[in-house]
Amino acid sequence: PVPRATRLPVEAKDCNIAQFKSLSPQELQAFRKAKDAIEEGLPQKDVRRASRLLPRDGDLQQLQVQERQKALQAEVALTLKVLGNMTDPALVTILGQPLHTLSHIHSQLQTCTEPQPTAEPTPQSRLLSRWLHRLQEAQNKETPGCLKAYVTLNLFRLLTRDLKCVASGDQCA
Amino acid sequence: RPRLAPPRNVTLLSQNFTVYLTWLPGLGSPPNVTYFVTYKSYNNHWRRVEHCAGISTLVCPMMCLKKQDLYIKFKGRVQAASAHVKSPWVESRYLEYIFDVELAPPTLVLSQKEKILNVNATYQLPPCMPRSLELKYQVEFWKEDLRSKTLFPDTPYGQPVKIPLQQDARGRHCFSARTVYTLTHTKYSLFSEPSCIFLAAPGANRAV
Repeated sequence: PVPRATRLPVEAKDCNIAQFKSLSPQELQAFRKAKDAIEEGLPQKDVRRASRLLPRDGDLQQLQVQERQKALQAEVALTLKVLGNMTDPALVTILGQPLHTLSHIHSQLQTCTEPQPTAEPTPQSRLLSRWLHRLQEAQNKETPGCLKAYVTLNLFRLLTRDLKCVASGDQCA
Repeated sequence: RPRLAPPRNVTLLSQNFTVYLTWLPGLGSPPNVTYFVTYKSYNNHWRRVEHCAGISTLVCPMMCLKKQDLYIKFKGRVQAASAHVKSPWVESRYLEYIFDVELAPPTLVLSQKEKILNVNATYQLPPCMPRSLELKYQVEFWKEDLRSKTLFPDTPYGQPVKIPLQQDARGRHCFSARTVYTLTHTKYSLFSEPSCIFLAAPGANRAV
């Protein structure tokens, strides 16, 4: 992993998603600590309901390479929003570093998915539409508890497999 | 209603990239006691582990189970049974695979071309193991009768280590390798059993 000191600032201007091929062990340990703390208080009914929202194995890889960034950006945005809205003082402290890492990833993805001024608009595939619809529907219909359970359950798939896949570009098959 | 003594030291552990539930018999267990195992992902209900229903051994493989998601922590539990009498269930702690996985050394495959030795690592990995875990390996190389060993840098699994041989490289040379896992923190497997070859005609290719 790229040493933290050379990582781009949070408001990155250039698309450099490759830096996220793997997060540092310290960052993943911080996420684990936060996840375990959140899971302590999750009602089982929210966890069960959230399970149905989880993407099926291999979904992100089935998307075209340039669409994966959009799908991941939507997931990171939801995760950032849900975790960022937590008010329990104990959690707020533990979530400090994870939220910083997530916002850095999110700003990078925003930069990378910004359409080039000269680029022709490309139609969105059905797979990507379904992916984005699933997340939008969840935010419209599900309870905050269910969304909290969802982002927690999906966290390590997002941070290790999906983020690495997007960071690896077309080498992720 | 009489109850059997519960199993003791119920532990969910990883070894050689896979996961096992282990336990000890309850105190005073009858000789014909058998065991039943179920497992639970954090987001799921308890599920039977079919291949560990009514077993008499004290260990149950817990990898690549039905509906298992290795990105989500899971735990196991075991119950003793004998002559229609059962013990209470005893649960293990949760195991988070990408943090708690324990490694195995690789098997090395060697080939020699002119003055270059190619060393490649192979593994017997569980089919359900997540591919994003980024295994690497380190090769140690030494001449058998000399004490000094050369440790080559971390090499991604799937890529060979190329060892340039000295012009006068003769006699028995030995190799050993260990796995390196750096995703969640840096972990090493044990080194593989050393294996030695006699440097002679190029083009020899064998698994060691």
